[in-house]
Parts: sequence; structure tokens; C-alpha cells
Amino acid sequence: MSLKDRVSVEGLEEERWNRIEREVVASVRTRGDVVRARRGWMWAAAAGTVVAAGVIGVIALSGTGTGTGTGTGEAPIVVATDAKGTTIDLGGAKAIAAAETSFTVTRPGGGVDIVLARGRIDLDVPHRPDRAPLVVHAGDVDVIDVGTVFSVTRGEVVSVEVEEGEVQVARGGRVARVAAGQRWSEPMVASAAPVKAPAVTANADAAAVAKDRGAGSASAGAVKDPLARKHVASAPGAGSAKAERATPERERDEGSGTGTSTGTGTGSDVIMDLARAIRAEPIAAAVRVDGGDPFAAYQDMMLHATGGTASQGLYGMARTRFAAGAYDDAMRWLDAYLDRFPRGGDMEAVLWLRVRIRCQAGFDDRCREAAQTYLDRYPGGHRAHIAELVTNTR
Amino acid sequence: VATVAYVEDVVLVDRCLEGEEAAARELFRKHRARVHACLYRVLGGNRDMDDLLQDVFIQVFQSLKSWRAEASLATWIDRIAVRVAYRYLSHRKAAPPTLELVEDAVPIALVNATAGATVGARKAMAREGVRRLYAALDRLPPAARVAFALHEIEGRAMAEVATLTGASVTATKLRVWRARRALVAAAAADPVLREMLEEREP
Repeated sequence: MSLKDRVSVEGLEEERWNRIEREVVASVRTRGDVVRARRGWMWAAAAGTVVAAGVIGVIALSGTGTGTGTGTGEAPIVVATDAKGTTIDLGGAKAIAAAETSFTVTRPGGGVDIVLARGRIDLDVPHRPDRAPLVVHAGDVDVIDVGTVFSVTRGEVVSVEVEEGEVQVARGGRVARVAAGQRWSEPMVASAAPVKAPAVTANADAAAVAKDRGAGSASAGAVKDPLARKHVASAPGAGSAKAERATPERERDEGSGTGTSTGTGTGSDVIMDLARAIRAEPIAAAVRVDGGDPFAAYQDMMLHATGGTASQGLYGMARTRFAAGAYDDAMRWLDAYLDRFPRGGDMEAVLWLRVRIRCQAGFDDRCREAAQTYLDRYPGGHRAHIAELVTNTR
Repeated sequence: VATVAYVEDVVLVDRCLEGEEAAARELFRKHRARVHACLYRVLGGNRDMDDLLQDVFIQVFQSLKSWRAEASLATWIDRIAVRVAYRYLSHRKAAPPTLELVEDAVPIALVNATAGATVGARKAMAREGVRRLYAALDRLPPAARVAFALHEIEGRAMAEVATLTGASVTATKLRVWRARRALVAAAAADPVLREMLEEREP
């Protein structure tokens, strides 16, 4: 028996703890002016440390973000190397990140998802027959691996070199198999999500989303919002402004492609209209960044900027991932936003994007929770009428 | 797991630095038990504990801006706790008089072996052993006491104790060794303390 076992700690009563906590928090409150200072460098340092920390944490981030909370345990890990590269253990897979490389790692559904913002990663992935694949996203190129040795470089050209085994490279609906000794490369193209200034976003967003869905042209133009019409009809006097707001440029509806609706149905018709209405609502664009890779630019903003700029960077990352169709990733960034910037300037956009993503698969509890969160925060918000209908789908 | 906790700490500290009161409460609740246990094991009781805990956490929040995110938040807070404990030991008035050792004090092993010895009696004996341990530690220089308590009672590695106390590993080992030697000397005249220390190293 050690002395530690022999010296048992006598606990304090909860009342004493409460008193101590009150004193401490009161002290913090009175020193608020001293304490209040956001630090971009802390996040940069965190990223650097995560590089060194390696696999255990990354693996512990497993989970598909199925919860409705905003815990950071599901947040992606940001890795950024400086002039020196580093080696990271991804729980079996080994990643060698070259200098000046940045990427994020998440664990959706037990797989490993790496979003390469820039630079080069060499990967050595053991055969994983019973596990979800490891996927590297480099812009609109997806490299899917189930056990091999390969590298992905993202610069002006995206290249994939395979040393052992075989990987699948997917881009724009095309899939190529690259075997050992082979090299695949194609020029990098601009992100699938053109980033525009806020408030004039509908067309750009519609284009991005339509493209993501393989809908081809983004000339959705004037698809009408059936829900808005329904809402006006059912709530006279309250809907004209909403109707006006709802009619201009909308993204293409992915259901019928016509956006038509009787506006009088019930049950499944209503649900369908509601789904269309949610999709028809524009998603606020992220702040404009000039040239280069928007994701990397937003990542830099998040890591190195302070205050509102950092929060805009985080929303930009979520928005970019959403536009690229990586909805789980987008949700993680959005949840990270809620954790870090509970009073952030993009909050309405963040909460609405959560609704949009959560309700894609149908009107389940997660969808309703997202809508309720929006409604609680913005009872008079632009989309409150839709959120309210969503919460009533039960 | 360590990295997840680390990222959570970064987020939590960031929220605290934004002035979010709920975050300050969360940080306090997350670390309070460990800090309390550390102070308790170094000091040997809850005397002045409320003030000490307040002192630690007020210093934590005052200095939060200086937390370099490359180090564990828990370790950083523990360093502050150790500094507070050290200062307390250095400045406090003379320790309250301890009970004179009883010549015929019954060794713990004997109590344990005695048929019919109640659980209560054994607990009382163990408590007495702990009391005498801290009475002996009271006679040590604060630096040696803190090092000994963190290593031998808290069970922390020597390198970690060195980090927490801001001393070299060699100096830390020396302090622990000196404390051990002093305790063995005290135990020579105190059968209860001797029993306790002997049980530590079977």
C-alpha cells in the first residue's frame, strides 16, 4: 500500500464548494477588463501541439457527430506545420506532413477524413478491410484508400503517387484507380464554392449547391418558394414581406426540379413543401477572400486572427465544407463555432446552416432540435416561420 | 484522449478569456477536485483550505492569458496550486502543537492482527498514523515537504514534481531523499509512524 492510499482526502461539503466558486467567479467578473482578450496565437499553438500529440486524440474524435450538442469533442483537429514537417500517427496509419502543410483530420463513421488545405502528406495505411476507408480530400479531388502507401500533394496541381497497393481517385463523378508505381495528377481548380460578399449571395450559393448535387447549370433563377406561399395563405397579414423575400433567386430544387406545389396539401405534401422551403432559403456566404484556396484562407483567419475576423474564418470553413458537400465536416465546424463564438456575428447564418444540414435526411429529432435552436435564438428571424413549422413536424 | 482533453481546454480557456462566466464555472468545476486533493496531500488537512482554493483559482483566472497552449492546462494549474501551498507553508505561523507520542502506542500491525479489533479501531489507528506523518513533515523545510508530498503521497513522477516545483530533477530527488531520511529518524522514536512507513515499503 502506498502513502497515497493511506492518506485519504477528506472532501469538502458542497456548500463550501459553492461558496468558493461564488468568490472565484465574482473575482473573475470584477476583473473582466483584465481577462477579456481573445488570442489567435493560442489556437495556432494548439494546432502546433496537436501535430506533436498525434494519433490518440485524433482517434478519440471518432463519432459521426450524431449528437445534437455542441461539444468540441467532435470538432476536427487542425494541423499546420511550419518550416519543418512532422510525422503523425493516425492510429495505425502514419502520415508524414511536409513543411508548410496544413490539413484537418476528422473521424466520420470510424473512418479517417483528411482535408488537405495545402502542402503534401505521405501516408502509410495498413490494410483496413473491416473499417471505413481513409479519405484525403484535396479540393474537389477525393483519394480513397483502404490500405496502401501513397502521397497526396495539393498545390496548383493535385497529384497522387502510389508506392504500394492501390487507391481510388474521385473527381467530379469520375473515378480512377491508381496502382503501385503510378502517378495521377490534374490541375487544381478553383473551389467549388465561390465566395462572395454577404447579402448578395443567392446566385453564388445556388450555383455552388447545384454543382455539388450534380445538377449542372445553376440557373435556378426564380424557382418559387412553396412554403412561403403556403405560409402567406395561412397567416394573412404576416406573410407579404416573407413572400417577397422568398421569391427572388433560389437554388434549384433537387426534388422535382420544378419547384411547383399546390400549396394546399397536408401530411406528406406539407413535409415535401417544407423540405423544399428549407432548401430554397439562401445560405449566407462567408466573408470574401481573394484568390487561392478559400478553405486555407479561412483556416488562417481562424488560427491567426482575433475577434470577429476569427469567427468569420470559422464560419467560412464550415461554409466551404458545406458547399463541397462535406456535411459532417461542416457540422463540426459549425458546432465549433457555437462553442467558440456563442455571440458571434454570423450566428444566425450558423444556426440556419445547421438546420439546413440536419434536415437534409428528413424531419427527425436532430432536425427539429436544430430548428428549435434557431427559433430560440431568433424568434423574429428571417426563417423563424420555417423553423417553427419544422419543430411542429413531430 | 489526452489530445481531446487538450483541445477542450483550449476552447474552454478561450471562452474564459472572452469573459464568459459559465466557462469560468466550468473550468473551476473541472479542476477543483484535483487541486483540492493536491493541496490536501501537501498540507495534510482542510485547514484554511477554502482560502487556499480561492487563492489558487483567482490566480489561475488572473494569469489565464499567460497560459501557453503548448502545455497541459492541468499541469499549469497544478503549478499554481503548488506555489500557493509552498507560500502558505513558508509564511504560516508555527504549526499547532501535536500530541505527545504515547510510549505504549499500539503498532498498526498489532491492531490489525488482534482478533476482534473493530474496523473503527483500525481506522482510528490509520488516522493517527497520518496525523503523525504530517506532524513529522511539519518539521521539514517547505521545499522538501512539498517535493516529498507530491512524489510519495500524490504519487507523481520525480520529473513531474520537478516541473511543478520549478526545480531540477536532481534537486527534487535530493529534497525527497532528505525528507525520507528525516521521517525515518522520526519513526525510530514513533512506532505508529514506523508501522505506517514500513507498510509503504513491504
